[in-house]
Amino acid sequence: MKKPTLLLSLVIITSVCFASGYKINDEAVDFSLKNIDGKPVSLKDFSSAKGYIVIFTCNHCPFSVAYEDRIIALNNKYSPLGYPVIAINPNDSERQPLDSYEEMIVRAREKAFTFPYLHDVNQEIAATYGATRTPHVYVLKNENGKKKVKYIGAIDNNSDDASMATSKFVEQAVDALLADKKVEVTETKAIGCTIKWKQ
Amino acid sequence: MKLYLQLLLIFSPTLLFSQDIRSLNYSELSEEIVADKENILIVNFWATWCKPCIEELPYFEKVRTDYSNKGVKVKLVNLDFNSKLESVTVPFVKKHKLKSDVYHITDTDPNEWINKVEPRWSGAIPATVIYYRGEKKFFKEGELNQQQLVFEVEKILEENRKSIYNNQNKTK
Repeated sequence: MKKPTLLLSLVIITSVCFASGYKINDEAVDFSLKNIDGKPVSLKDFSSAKGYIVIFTCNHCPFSVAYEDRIIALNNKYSPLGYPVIAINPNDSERQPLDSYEEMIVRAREKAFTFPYLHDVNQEIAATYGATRTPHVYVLKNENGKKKVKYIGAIDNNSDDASMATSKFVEQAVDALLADKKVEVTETKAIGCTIKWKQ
Repeated sequence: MKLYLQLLLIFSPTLLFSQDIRSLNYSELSEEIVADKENILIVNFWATWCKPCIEELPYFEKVRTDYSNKGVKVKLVNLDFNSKLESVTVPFVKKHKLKSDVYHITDTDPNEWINKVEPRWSGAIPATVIYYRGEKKFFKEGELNQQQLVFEVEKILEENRKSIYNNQNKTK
């Protein structure tokens, strides 16, 4: 028991020190984080998944709020096709009380989230993945039991107005993966809120 | 020179939203930054909804005041949604009586210009870039405090003093 924990801490420390995070085709670690229903959720729980749309997001950030309906739509469209959305809140609730576990439950109910909304209470997963802002998306593909990072970045190219978005990056990436094609745009950037790291 | 700049501003085709905020796209802002071959330009990307951004605005205002006679200029580049500009951003700038030049980026696709600002920038705000004579000298994603800001400005001023001194010695 002790050894894997030590190894995991080493991995985390290394990733924090170098602040590098994942690059395309890296293997992503699984996790076990508490969902809003109090139960832990891991990627491996989705036994029939072809991959995952992992989204670091939160309650308070206006960019996250602007994307909530689009995140719900992504899950409704892609979960049945084998790419469920897994939302993770990485923010320190001491720095941003609106992002506490209790507030996550409230927000998930208000918006009737159809996907897990997990609390990265130690911020380890966000640090390991290399997330820096909310929302920040990682599309993973199951490849021979390994979870490979295939896309990192924004949901689309218009935060303000979904109907004006001309490139839907996440949809394009998942569509390509579903069709066994190469993801064309693998990394994008967007304005977002900084992740509120513990001080 | 100053008159020329004023005339340029008056006749600039760029839309002037109010006295306080200039709306432009990133390439226009970038041209303006590179064209300034005199000053230290502190360019801060912020938004009214971003708490750490709001907290550090006074630091930029203070540096602008304290160093205005040493050629330091501050550009506060607002990234609120275009749809919030008149209802939120303009009243905010007025209420806080911001003295620095305030800009608003109109581009709706940040993926097109974030890397042009700085490849290390993930897009999280606040983010700050310092230019001297059109050249990038400093970049930081995340909050700055007053000391850090002053330190970076002093560093550039000191380098400049050294290079003037060296040049004078060379010509002697």
